[in-house]
Amino acid sequence: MICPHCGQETPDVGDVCEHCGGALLPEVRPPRLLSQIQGLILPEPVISVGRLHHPDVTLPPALLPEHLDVVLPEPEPQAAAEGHVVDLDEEADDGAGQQEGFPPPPPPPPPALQAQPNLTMAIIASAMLALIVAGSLWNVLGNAGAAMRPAVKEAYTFIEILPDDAQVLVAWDYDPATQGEMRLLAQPLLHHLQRRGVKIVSMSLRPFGPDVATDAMAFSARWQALDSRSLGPAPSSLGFIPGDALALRSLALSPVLASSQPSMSAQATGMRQDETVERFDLVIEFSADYASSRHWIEQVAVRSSSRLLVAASGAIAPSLRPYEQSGQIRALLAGYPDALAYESLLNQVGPARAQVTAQTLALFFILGVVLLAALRSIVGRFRS
Amino acid sequence: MMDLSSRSVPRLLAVLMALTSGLLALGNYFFGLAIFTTATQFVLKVTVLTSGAALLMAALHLAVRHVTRARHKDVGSLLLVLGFVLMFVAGLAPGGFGAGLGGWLYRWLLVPGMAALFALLPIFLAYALFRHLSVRDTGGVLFLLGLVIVLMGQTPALATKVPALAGLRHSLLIGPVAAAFRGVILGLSLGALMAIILKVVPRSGLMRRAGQQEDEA
Repeated sequence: MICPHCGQETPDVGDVCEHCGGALLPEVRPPRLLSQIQGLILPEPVISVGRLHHPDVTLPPALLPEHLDVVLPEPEPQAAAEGHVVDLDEEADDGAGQQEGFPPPPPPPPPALQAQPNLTMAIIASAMLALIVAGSLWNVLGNAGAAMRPAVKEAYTFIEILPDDAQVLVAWDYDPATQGEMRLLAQPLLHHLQRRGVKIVSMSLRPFGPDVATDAMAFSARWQALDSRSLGPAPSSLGFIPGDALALRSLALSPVLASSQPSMSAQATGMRQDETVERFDLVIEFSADYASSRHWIEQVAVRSSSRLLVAASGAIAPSLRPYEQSGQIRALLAGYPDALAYESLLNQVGPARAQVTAQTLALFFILGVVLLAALRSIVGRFRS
Repeated sequence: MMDLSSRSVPRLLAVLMALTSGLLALGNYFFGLAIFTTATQFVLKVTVLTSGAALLMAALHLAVRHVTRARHKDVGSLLLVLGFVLMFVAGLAPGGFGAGLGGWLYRWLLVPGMAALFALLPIFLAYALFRHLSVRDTGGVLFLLGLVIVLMGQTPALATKVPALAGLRHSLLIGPVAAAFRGVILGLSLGALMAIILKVVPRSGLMRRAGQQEDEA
């Protein structure tokens, strides 16, 4: 084996390198207390370079040759006393799954069985893509209405009753990966804010947040070009503010000081350094990350009188519902359905409406897949 | 006697810093005095800067590791190092990712790449459902019912034609689903509180006995 200290080849016997004298086995961690008490979970093995070793555990010999694709050395007296020592090749050593304990993963299925799932996935992907393209090209359901939740009407009302000189803080807490969904939510809200003529101050807890905001503004401007009522002052930005929860605590105390360039931020936003987040009449967070929304609630919403409105991706919305019910989030907009509903309230033909047919077809397809899988499972059960 | 060996001093300093920061934060929370606010701002700034420096060191360490691997003709590591250098240079350029090389990378590489990867998620989910959905017990039936109701209630054309479906989906989400999440949130918070209490408060006789039993086991 190769010594991890000097990098030279050394015989695979003993615990020290014959060249440098460095230890070949790391210090063995004590087994977990829970495992000892309950006796339910086997102590974790220690993976060293090329070795799987634990002095307290003796592996059932029947397990090793069948499941591990390795050649076991002849048991030596020392190894027998310490427990099984299994030589693993380099590929096996890189696999993180091997650290999780025993038994090791089963051998891979034969190639014939591996090809079948790939074909299924290709069929699913092709069908879904074809339906989405067809739905985008022929949006025959575009004039259908939208299911309206009370929260959507509340969010609409919050923006509608803002005073003319209001300032709204908009946080862009999502990445380009979720831009496709989040932009649908951002567009009608931005449109509404600009139509009301309020001042928008942007910020983000993510490095790409300012770029995402710029993209969303440009996207929104394209759709608003049709609306002659689109007015409002130019938006300003506090930029990317690193530090997550800490940054938000700092922001709650002084948004200008929390930004990376306080003097420029003060000039752009017209805020003083001693003004807190309560200077904003409304705080809107566009979020695709549960943790960042939680930070906003804990560090800002519960400590100020500013209303927090969260527009979240469909994936994280269920985990934010308790905060909406407790009133810590004043209104929660979630995913595509609420984007469509908000566009309906604005009486605007926007990007969400342009996707009605594509969304309907894709969801019908997934529903069909679910029902087919359920049917297959039920039939299989009766057969067995 | 306090052991002031080379190992204990940094640990003592770390504990003192943590205690000071915690007390400042608590003081700022309970007494809204300007001195607490200023001190808290300072501590927050220092913490953010320290975290940023640590993150930068971690990124550099990772890059150095992959440079070593790239020298051994590891194509993945080579690509990673190239990407790292490219993004680092683009990020330092004037205008960042809003203009020039950075803007081009952002618009034509980052956005489509990340969005394409994320767009694969529904396909993988549909495939996983098709392969592994099992309706063999009560849990499976409930899962299937929940899935069908949420999907139907979210489908725009269906939700407008049959408003009861959207209502049912909404009730499901604000009822049992929200209750489950509330349980998780409360459970985690209480668990964290308990862990802190057990760490901070000296062990009582009962706790000591429990600890001894654990050690014996």
